[in-house]
Amino acid sequence: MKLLRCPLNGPRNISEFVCWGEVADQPDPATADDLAWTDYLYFSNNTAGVVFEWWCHTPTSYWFIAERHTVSDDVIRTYTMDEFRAIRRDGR
Amino acid sequence: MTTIQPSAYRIRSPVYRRLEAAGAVFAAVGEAVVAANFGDRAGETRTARTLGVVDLSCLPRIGFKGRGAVEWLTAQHVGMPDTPNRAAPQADGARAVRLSASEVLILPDRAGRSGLAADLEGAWQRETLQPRGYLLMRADTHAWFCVTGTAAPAFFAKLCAVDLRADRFGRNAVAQTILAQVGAIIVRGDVGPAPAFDVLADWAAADYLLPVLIDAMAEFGGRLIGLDALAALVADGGT
Amino acid sequence: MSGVNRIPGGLLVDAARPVRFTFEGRAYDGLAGDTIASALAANDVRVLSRSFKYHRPRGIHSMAAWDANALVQLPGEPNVPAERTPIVPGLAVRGQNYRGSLAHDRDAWLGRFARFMPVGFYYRAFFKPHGAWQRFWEPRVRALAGLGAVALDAPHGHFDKVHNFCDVAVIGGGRAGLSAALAAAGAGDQVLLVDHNPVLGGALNYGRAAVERAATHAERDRLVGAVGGVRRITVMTGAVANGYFADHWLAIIQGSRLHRVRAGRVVLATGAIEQPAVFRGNDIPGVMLGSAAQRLIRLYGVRPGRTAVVVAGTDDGYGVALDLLDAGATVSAIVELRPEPSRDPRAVAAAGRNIRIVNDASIIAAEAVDGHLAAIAIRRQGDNTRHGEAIVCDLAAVSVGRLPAYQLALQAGGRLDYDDARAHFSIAGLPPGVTLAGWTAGEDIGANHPWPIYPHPDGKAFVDFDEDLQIDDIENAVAEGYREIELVKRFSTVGMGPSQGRHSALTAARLVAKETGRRVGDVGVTTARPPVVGEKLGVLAGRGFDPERKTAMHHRHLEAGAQMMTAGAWWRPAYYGVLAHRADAIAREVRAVRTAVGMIDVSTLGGLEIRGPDAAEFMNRMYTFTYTKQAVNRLRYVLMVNESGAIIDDGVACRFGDDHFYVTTTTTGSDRVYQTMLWWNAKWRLDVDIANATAAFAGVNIAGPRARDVLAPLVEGCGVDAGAFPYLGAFEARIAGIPARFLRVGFVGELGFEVHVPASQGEALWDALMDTGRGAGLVPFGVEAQRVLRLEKGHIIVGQDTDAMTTPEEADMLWAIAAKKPFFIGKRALVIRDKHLSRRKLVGFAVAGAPPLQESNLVLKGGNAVGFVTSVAWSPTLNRTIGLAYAAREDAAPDRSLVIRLDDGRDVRATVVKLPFYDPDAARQAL
Repeated sequence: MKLLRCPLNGPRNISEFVCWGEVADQPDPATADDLAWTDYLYFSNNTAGVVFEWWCHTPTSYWFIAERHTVSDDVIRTYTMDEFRAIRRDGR
Repeated sequence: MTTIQPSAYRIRSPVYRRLEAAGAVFAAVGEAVVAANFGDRAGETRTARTLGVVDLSCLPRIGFKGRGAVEWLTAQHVGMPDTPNRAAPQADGARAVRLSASEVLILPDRAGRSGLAADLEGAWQRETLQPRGYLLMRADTHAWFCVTGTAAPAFFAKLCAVDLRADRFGRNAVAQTILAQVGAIIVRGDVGPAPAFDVLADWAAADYLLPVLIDAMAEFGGRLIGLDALAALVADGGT
Repeated sequence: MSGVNRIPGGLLVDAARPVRFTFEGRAYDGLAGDTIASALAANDVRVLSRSFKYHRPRGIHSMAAWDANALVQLPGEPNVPAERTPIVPGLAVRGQNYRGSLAHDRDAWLGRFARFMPVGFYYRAFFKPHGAWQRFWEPRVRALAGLGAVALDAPHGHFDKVHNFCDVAVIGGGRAGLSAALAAAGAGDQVLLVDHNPVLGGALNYGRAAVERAATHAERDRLVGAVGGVRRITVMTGAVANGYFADHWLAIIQGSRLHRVRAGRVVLATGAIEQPAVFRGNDIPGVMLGSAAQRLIRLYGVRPGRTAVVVAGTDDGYGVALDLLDAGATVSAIVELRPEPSRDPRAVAAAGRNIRIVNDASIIAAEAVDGHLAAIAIRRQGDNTRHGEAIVCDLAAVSVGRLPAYQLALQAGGRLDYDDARAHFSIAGLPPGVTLAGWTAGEDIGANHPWPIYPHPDGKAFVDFDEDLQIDDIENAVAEGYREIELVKRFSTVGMGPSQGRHSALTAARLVAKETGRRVGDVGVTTARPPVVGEKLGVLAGRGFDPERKTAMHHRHLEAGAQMMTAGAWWRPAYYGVLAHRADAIAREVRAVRTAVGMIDVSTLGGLEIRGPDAAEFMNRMYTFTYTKQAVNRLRYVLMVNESGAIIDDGVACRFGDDHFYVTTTTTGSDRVYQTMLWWNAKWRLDVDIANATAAFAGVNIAGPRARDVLAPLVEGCGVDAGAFPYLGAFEARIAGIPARFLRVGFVGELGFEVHVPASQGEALWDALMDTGRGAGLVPFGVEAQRVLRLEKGHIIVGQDTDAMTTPEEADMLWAIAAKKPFFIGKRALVIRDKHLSRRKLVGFAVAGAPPLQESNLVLKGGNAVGFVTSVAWSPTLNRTIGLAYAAREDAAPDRSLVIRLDDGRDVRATVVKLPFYDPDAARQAL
């Protein structure tokens, strides 16, 4: 049973978490055309490689980000929301 | 002397009927009604050293959460743990349990003598300064069971995937995890010489959870015990 | 005397404690510590079962429960491994898979028809004539299928589960495992040492690596003693590690308890599995692995046979021969399969004890009499006779090599590489934290015989004992075109029985390699998946958890005679009364609400606290309606759609302050809505705090024209008349001394007050209201009545009247959308969907009479399904059947006719009715 390191609670069994999929930048709903919006809603890259994902520790309802390799299922790092915003600012 | 009946009080434990069925003798602690014993103080005190469970659901407690909560509590001279998932004992025996960067749970001492929760709630309501976080009704969101005894870590291993062994989960450690398929907050304290684990879990699932705990305890000779047994242990162990 | 074959010295048995048991109805005496197989072997009982396909007699082969040959039946439990299951006084054991008796199986004729059942025959048989399968073959195949019998009335066992934690898990307690455990403990680690056998020591307990045993025993005693003295090492014997899972998570089964172990790292010292030789009759009882003979002698004090032949493809065979001599057996010959004589000291010792050694020989066949071994026919190099030489024997002990026990290693991601020179597989490619030790790592394991395979023109040279597969079957699978081992496995079923390839994988790889002209390493073996050995379903079920949630008033409902129903994990009262009078009870409750007053427990509906300077902005974004201008002490409907514009939840939002909204959700939606809100605000980072207070508030809804009569005497700090408390008002005050929130809502279409109090005081609230309300005729009502009442008002229930696609427009709820808001979740999608309206709309309908309409009955138009019924009920208020349904958009107008298909195939006509059915002026709830 896979272990996932929650930034708040430390390493826990994966059964304590839910994943809400890949972090995707939402286009501006005011300016995006219908095709771009539909693409955002229903299509994902299905990347074979490193992605950032939304994860929630269900007993604490704590949301955080995991950086995971989708082929090896290796979780490289987990980030608090603040840490994630910082690396996003830095262009990652 | 009239016997105390939970159904005569407004605040009732979610499991009071199970306590009654087990032969509880109740006592009033402020507005709360707790099972003082089950007719066997000496035996319950012995059991408490190995494995026992007490229902403390009626004891007053409160939570604070959100922007400004931790700062305001610190300004009220509440001793605050530096990091989440740790508890800090207070002078009057209460504990401040830090659940996240901005959430704190105030638990009274297990005899229910501390007025800290009520005092802080009153002060918060009267306060006008912002931000100071928000109140959480922790006496009603969660039930409170205290599990005591040296066999407690082995017992928890039947219900919980977190390592609660004595050398891995020390005094004032906190685990927020899943216990018997319900979310739970587990706080390690001690009662005299015996290790003690405060379990806070969904109030609505308490009537499901208590029999699960008691069934899992059977293997170790564990059982329901009353508040008197805890007091006796404290008297023995001096905490 | 506990058996004619009993000899002194069995490590596990106690000669002073006989144990009587029965096998096939006959009584036998064993010793405490015997397994079923060893006790029977002591009593010279050779045949334990009948094989799966050909019903051939089978007996002890590995003495380690690696295969199905020794599966027996206990009362109430089939497929019990006789080689590992201890006897207890009175145990009644039977064989399996026979008709009549084990000795005279009436289905043994199947073996004579083997040539009509070649590999994969069932893919081509039984098809013709048409119908023959159902009428003739299937019942017969069913009767023959399976090994043991399930007793439906068997008593339930008690199974449990527990978590375990350690720094190092060492799997296997032989020499390598014991050493690894000591090394890790010495370095400060907490160690869990797991062994399948009743005692530690592994092969040190029964193997004969040297001529004299003393050194082996001393080493065993030293290691086992050292481990016993180290507190950091926890020993689990009689425990099998049955699966390796991610991040060093192990499933370890000991007795009837499943241990779910999280290890910091894992050492696999699982040893090696001795391999069979493949020759005609290699399955006959009496033919067994050399290590099986040694286990019988050393562990159980049983002489495995009287007159033995040892088949030696490796030097270990000579150790077996010495053990057999020491156990009092005659060793007629050692058949050395290799061309050169062995120079191993054990071979020298065997020669020194005058055992005949036949060098450079091959096996022709084993012969049986009365179902067990009577002779082995061998061929010496240069002997060209047809029958070779027959050696009389009742035991053939075979030592041709070992395969590392690779199962857990492959589950951990390892792979098998083949070494042609030593003719064995080795394990590589393990992830960090998983290491091998001892024989599993290939240390000291010796070379295997490269080809102990001897085909015979009359067949019956078994590659897989469990599946009754012979050499021909593997060759025929390849001839059919299945060249890859994965396909050979699936076509032939080799390795798919209880032994899971332990004895067949190496042979199958060799045969396929030969038939396809490839190297054994290029053919490989199929992967290993959990479980390693069979595990009982009871162990997996174990201690199960099935959480239930109850409101504070739960017991009052039971006491009032409620039939309870589940809503997610919650229990709610469906109606109050007996099942036989369900319809009457519901109608009575509906009438009570419409004419007097009723009370329903609404504690399960979610309660979320939205607090902070950005609370109104947050509400505006989460829901379709607008909240910026909502007044304090007023409530408003909330409707939530997802990003695709589909309705997912609803409720009401009470504003108790500029910066404070208290929002309700549906019962089954509360956790999901809370999680969704947190997720969105993790992105938006508005200055708002979201808290889930669902469990904290118990709540009731008091509805009916006499509602005020019930509340007025109890409410403090707030008036309940229409002036003080208008429709859609929301106030915080007290009731019967309990702090409370009061809401005026209109879900059921009558004057209604919801009262929310702290859960711990919910039962006290219920008691006070029932007491005070008696005079006004207050009765409790349940979910069923509430569903009828809201249906009469045409109010939807999210998840019942909406599906995954329903937009607010389809449900005529455009009034709940604040179109001028710049943003709410789902707005952009609704703009797109408005350009392509769906073909359906949700409408109200009524039918004459009381036809058996059900939810999900289809609405038809022109022979096609254009919609379906979402809600339907008999309305006591209106005295007719009403409902909600999706209908074709062009039929969504009052008085249009709908056709609805009943479950029994009849069609009924329904008339579209403008909603609401009851009180269209909405006067009643605004009283």
